[in-house]
Amino acid sequence: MNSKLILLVEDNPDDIVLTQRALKKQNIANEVVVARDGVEALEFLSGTGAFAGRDTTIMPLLVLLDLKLPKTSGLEVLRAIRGHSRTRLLPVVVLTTSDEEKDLIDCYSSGCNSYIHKPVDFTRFVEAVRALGHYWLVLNAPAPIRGG
Amino acid sequence: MNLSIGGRISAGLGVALLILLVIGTVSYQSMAELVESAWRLTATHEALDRLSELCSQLERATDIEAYYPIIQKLDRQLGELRSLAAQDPARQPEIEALARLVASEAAAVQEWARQPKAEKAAGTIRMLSSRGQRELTEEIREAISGAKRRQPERAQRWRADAVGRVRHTVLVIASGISLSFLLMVVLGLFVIRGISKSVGKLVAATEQIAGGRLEGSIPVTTKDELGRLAASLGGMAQRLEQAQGALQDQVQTLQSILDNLRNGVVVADANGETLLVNPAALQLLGVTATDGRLEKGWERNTLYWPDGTTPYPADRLPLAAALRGEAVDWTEVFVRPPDLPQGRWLSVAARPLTNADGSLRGGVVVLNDVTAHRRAEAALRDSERLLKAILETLPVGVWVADPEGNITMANPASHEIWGGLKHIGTDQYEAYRAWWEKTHERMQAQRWPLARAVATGEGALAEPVEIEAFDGTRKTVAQSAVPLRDPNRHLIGFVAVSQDISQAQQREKQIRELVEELRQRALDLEAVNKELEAFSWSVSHDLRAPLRSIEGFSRALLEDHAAQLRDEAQDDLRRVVAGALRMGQLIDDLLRLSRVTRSEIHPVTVDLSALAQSIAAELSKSQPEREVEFVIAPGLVVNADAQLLRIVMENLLGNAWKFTSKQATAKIEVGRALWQGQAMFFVRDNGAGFDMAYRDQLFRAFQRLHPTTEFEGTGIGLATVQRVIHRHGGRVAADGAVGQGATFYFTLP
Repeated sequence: MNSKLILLVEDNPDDIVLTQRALKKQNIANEVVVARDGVEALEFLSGTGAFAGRDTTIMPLLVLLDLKLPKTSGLEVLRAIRGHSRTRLLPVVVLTTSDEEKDLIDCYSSGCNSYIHKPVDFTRFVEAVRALGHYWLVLNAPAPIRGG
Repeated sequence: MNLSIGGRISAGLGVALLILLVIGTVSYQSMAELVESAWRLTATHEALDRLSELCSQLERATDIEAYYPIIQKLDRQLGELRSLAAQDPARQPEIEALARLVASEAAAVQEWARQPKAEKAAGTIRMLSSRGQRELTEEIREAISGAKRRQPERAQRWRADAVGRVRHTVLVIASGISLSFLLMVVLGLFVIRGISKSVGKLVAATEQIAGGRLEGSIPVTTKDELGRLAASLGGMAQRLEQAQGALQDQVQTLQSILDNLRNGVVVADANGETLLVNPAALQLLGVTATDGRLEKGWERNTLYWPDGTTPYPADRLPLAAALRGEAVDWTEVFVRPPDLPQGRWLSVAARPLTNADGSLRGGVVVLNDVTAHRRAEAALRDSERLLKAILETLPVGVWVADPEGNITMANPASHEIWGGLKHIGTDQYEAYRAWWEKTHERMQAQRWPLARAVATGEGALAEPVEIEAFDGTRKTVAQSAVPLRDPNRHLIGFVAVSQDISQAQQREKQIRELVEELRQRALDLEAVNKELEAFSWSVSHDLRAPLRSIEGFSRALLEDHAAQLRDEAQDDLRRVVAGALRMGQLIDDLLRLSRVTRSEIHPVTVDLSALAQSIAAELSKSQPEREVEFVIAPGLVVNADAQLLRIVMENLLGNAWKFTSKQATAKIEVGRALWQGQAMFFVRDNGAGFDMAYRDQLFRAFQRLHPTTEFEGTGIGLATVQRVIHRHGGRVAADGAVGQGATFYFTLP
């Protein structure tokens, strides 16, 4: 079943706080689950490891994915999501500091739904989060979750 | 008449002579008869006188002794008379009667003579005194007298006869002479007439022949001498005509040969006057002939020594020498005709011409153009020199061997390589100590490329061989050998080439080492590049994150805790935010510069005018309150990387936008113009401008000519522009003055 859950995959605690603050500032009240590295994110999605026994029928409405992560990189996480039938259709928005062309191409070719560059200017970041939430959480109709 | 003139004249003269002969004979006979009859008349008269004398003596004879001889004389006289009268029959009886008388007288005397002596004396008297005797004597006397008396009568008759005869003879002579004369006149007229007619025709024909008209026959057809003369003259003219025709043909042939001969021919008489000069001679000498004659002494002004400048020695001029009786064999001279400033070389021969008696008649000069030959020889010499120079300067050793493989020649480089030279045959090649470079096996004499080429006729190319030169040094050479063949594929020898590749090998080794070093460096560089990329990526990710924290939390403080913060603290926090933002901008610009350096260029056709328009529109939209006039020339098209070009134009137009912000009426132009002799694109503004003294600093990263407080900026934009343009192979330039705006030029190939 669909939930109002947002999975934020981010290792930088400052960025976690700032993202949460930005979400809050835009009045996005959805539950935010934070995974601090790629492994954790995948464990959450597959209900293994630290998240063993989690009801995996509850899938996040949106995954906000940083690219530069310890252990498993964001790009690998993205590929894993797209490589698994259960998570294949999850909307994944890459939210990262990098504006390297290589990263953009890699992400889009690995099947990310959107690529958002985190600016230094918090004001603009808030604006970006607003637009992002409005689109993905309000306007976008998610693909139905197939049981399993 | 078919008789010859000579015949006719002879016949005429013969007839005349015959007539004269007859006349003469007749006259002579007539006169002779006359004379003889006159003589006989006289003789008869004398004989009669002597008879009568004898008779007188007989009468006076007293003794018989005297008588007898008289009788005998009488008888003899009678015989004479008889023979005289033999022609006259009328006198025959008279003489016969006298003869009988004398005979009887004589018989009586003979009778007396036979008597004995005594009786004779007696008998004499008696006989003399006998009457018979007396009578007989008287009769004899009578007979003689009778004959004497008839003598005048006879003389009378003879006279009458002689007159008749003389008259007759004169008549015969006169008529004969007249006849002869007539005959001669007739004959003469006839002959003269015939001759003069023919001679007239002959003269006309001869004049015609003399005038050179040999054709046509002579109309004298008689068979006499003139006819034959005419015939032979005609034949002669015909033969002359034939001979003349043949001669003319020959002359024409000779003329044609001389005209078409490529050799020049000049013939002169003993005085040096030109008798003949053919067109080739005029052309070769570059002289002109007046009336077929060259100027006398033409040689002196025309011929030069083969060096082309020294006049030909006067005592050796060919024609002059020939006219002195000397032969000149082919010798070279130089001429410079007016139409050929570079001149030409001629080979000249000259010979004296002599008459049959050996006296000098003139001289002939023959000229041959040998310029091409001489040039070819010079070219050959040059090419030989060149070949020699090449051989001597070639840095490779060259040996030349005869068809048997005996080394006959070697160039200096070969000496250098081997430290000497050995002229040896194939079987002695062992003297050249060498080893195969690959196997280090000793080179056998018959295995040398040259020896193999001699044995098989096949060439070998650049075989690496290690050698020990005669001075003991070791070297590596590339050895080749090929057979040499003439154009007919006939073997003329061999050439062996040895290139000292010791240094080359050394160099090759060095190059290999260098390549290896370079490869290593490239690997290092690649690693560095990768590191740089990783660094760049890391910067992109990590450097901005803390900034974001600084900026974000500072702002959070300002937003959430403004009440607790004093104005001073708030101002400090705002400075922190501004600093973080500036650093973010710096990082962005640096990353972009780095990207410009690293990214590959994909040139496409870009509409620069449209690009400028779209950026101008964005700028206007970003600050709609500003009034800026954009003047963008249409139709500017370049071949460049679209993304990088956009960065260039964003920077240039962004700068222009920025630096005109303090102008009341800002104007930004984009176009193309000549700058320092080169057509360049430009972006011009009428903004703050810059001091040209610092223009070199404009394009350096982090260099700014304006304080940040006046105009914001990181000082990386123009550095990025320059890098993009340079990576496209173009150039950038700036022009401006403080307060008078700036113009940035760039080219794109």
